[in-house]
Amino acid sequence: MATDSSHSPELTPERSSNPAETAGIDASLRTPLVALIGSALVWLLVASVLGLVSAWKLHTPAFLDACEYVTFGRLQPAQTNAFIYGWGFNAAFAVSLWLMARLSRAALPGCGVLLVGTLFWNLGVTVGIGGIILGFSTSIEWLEMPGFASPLLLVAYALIASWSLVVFRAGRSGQIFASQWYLIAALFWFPWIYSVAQVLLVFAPVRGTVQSVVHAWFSSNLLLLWFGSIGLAAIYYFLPKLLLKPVANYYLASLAFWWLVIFGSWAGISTLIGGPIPAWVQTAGAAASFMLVVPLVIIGMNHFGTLAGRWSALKDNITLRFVAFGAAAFSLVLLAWVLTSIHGIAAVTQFTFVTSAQAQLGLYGFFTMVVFGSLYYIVPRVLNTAWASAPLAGVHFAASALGVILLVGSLAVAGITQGRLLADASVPFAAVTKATESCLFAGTVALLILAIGQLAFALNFFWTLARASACCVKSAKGLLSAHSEAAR
Amino acid sequence: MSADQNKNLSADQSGASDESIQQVHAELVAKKPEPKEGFKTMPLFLLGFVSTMIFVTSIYVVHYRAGFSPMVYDERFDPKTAAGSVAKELTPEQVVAAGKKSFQQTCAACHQNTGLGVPGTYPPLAGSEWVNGSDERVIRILLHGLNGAVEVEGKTFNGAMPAFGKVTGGGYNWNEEKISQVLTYIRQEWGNKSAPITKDQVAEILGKEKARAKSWTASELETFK
Amino acid sequence: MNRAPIIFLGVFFALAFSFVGLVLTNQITYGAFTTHVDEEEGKAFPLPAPGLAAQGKLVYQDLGCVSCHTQQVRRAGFGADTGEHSRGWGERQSVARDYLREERVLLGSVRIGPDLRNLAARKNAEGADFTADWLYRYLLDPKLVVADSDMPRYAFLFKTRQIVGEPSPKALKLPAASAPAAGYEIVPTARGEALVAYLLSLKDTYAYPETKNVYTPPAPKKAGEKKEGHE
Repeated sequence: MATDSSHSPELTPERSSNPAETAGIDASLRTPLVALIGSALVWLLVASVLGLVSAWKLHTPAFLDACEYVTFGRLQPAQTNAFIYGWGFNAAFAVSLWLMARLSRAALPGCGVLLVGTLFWNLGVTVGIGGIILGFSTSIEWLEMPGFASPLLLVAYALIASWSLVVFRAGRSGQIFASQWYLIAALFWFPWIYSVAQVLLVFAPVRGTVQSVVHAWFSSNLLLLWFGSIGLAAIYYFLPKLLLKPVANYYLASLAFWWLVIFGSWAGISTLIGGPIPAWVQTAGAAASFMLVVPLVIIGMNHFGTLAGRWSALKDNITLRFVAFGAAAFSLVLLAWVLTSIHGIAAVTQFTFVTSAQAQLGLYGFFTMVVFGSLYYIVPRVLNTAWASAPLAGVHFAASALGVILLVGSLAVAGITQGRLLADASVPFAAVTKATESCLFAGTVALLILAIGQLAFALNFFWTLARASACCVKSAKGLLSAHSEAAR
Repeated sequence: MSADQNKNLSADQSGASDESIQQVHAELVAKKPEPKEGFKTMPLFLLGFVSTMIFVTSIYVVHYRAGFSPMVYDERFDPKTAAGSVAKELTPEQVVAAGKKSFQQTCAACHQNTGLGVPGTYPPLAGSEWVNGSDERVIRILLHGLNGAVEVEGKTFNGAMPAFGKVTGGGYNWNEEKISQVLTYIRQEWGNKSAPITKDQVAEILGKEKARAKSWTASELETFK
Repeated sequence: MNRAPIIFLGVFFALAFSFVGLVLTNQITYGAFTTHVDEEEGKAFPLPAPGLAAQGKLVYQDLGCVSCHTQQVRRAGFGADTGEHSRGWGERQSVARDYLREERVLLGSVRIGPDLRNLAARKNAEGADFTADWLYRYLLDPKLVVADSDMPRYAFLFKTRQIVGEPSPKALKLPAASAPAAGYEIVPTARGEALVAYLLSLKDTYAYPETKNVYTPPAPKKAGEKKEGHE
């Protein structure tokens, strides 16, 4: 076997392989992706508004407290559900569909099913959020949408996910790349964990604190094995693609995948340390959380090894900037998970804003940032139009990065202060909440900054969409001829 | 290169092709990179790290497994070592606390939480010579109840106290431990300073009065002063 | 890793592993727990909640109180929930059986407000028991009772109405500054009453057999007795 030179085998640029085929795949995804991304962005803005109001209520409880429909206990779940199921899932569908189509190198055979699925999904989320505001909340964290909304979501999911599998089966990819493992895992997992959670918690509840075990299992699987998997799939794809360099230490990636998958689904129990569940279950959860150090190290090696020596590429490439930020955030998420499972630390951080900080770091700092980066790459290729405004993109990144750091930081500081004071019984409870007020205000400011970034992105997207439609209407030959324009 | 190339905002396909991504990475896995100075230590370091993690975590699980029992909620507790001391002795404070709880749930209805009773009907327990007096008498009162007029601290009271012990006609059926706890509590509360009462004492009295099926009167209890 | 079926199977078994190990195992071991029948008291613990309290639980759920309040007491030594030098939020750690009768277990995940598990069994900030009166005033305007409270007002659980004939026995007694206009009284709505009934039913004071499984540190050896058989 001829030994390779000290350089790893090079990746051939797109331009020189088969651009027409790729353009064809992108074009086939245009309508469903526009629908998904459009609805995702609307939900993101809705969630931001809800989030700003509820964050304001945290440090100024008198704000709007006369109205029952916007009491904190209803607004906060409405915000998290809008963010997770409205923004997170629509965006995840969009990114995973595109990734699956590209990596399978198969165009979408038709998009009617997907559009119906998207409609049902958004309908389900709307009904669910409405239900929470009107007082039908189940009060189960991240599953507050009432029981009449979840069947809609499952049906919609079946329609959308099955189409992804259709694309995968239609593909010709002989070798399955890391992104595809994560995508297959995520697509397969979600309906299982969601239906189990709905049945065992809402429709035929199990007895006593077995509910808490099911709930913790669901939440950690949602974060690590749905959002985590799709985010990782995107990072594993975009790093080699944009740096034209294979993933560093790629042969370890499968070990990290299986390790994450096996231990990640047990690790959620670490939130129940000290709780009314048998001690051995708490220990198992904590042990599984410690084991997350292994994928932390390996995935870190994969991502930062690939970025090593190419940091200058971040300057010119907005996708890379978002994706690198997300990769760093993912390492921090796993690290925080490990640390907060240690008894001594959990005694301080449990039941404080530190858990909110962790959730924000995972959902926003990691998943949302990676999705933003992916969308910056996906949208122009699917619409065959460049982004309408470069300054808006710059504003988006700056606002998002700053906002995430400020949000996670202020919540973490608030949480640690709160935890330390809670553990000291001589401090009256009212003093504990008083002490966190300034950090919570900083958190509200952070949410405002994030909202500015989101507005910039939404504006940019709809502007680009308008341009793309105008371009198509103008051109007499329609969609197919747009390819020849790009090829010029 | 148009200005759009900056930040990669245009629609051109400038990245690596998907085909080559998959192919190259598959090759990377198939034939691992040749060992070089850097590479030899990598797998070994990782092997060491992974083994250490498994080892450390296994020790943690074994140490804090709490017997894998669904009845244990404190991870430091080991059911095997504690199996020997099944019937743990309560500390004196725990006895008083348990007696207090029983008192507040039941006795306070008549004798009040303050131990001052209700004038004319329920005698006070605070400073009472009956409470601080002979053990035999006060245990019997609790076991079989007390009927008719009784004089406490110079005043007369005429209530009817039910039987609390496991006696014929008794509706409460408290066991000896519970009775001894309540008595210990009232004998040290509200300024009373008398010795605690043990469940063995109660059991002894119960044995002596096995035949009794009705409550005491004050005159009957004179013998036990 | 090149064959999709292997990945599917592996993914299936990975999730099945945690599902069986966590969900099924726990459902079999302690999901089947029944109430504990106390021979002396002749009752089965945990006691069922009175009807109004059960309705109150639904109000607790629909208003989303779990967003700020937890309902679990951690063991002594883990934070300041119970034990020595603690906030006295419970006599003991909460165990699984405490939640046996609950159709929806609301352990909560953040303490923006204090833990509520033993609200009816502990004292408030002034050292007195929680009463319905105190809770009504607190819900109407927390600052009436606790000056620094960060809890929002739940005035929509009350209604101001004209006094017809005699004032209602349920009318709140408020200080002059917050009292309604003359001839009017503030009474709790049915939801408010139910919620307060629920809060007053929250106490986990029964000592199940498993609550005795508490770790006691080994007694420290005194200096003179360090070696056995030394005497």
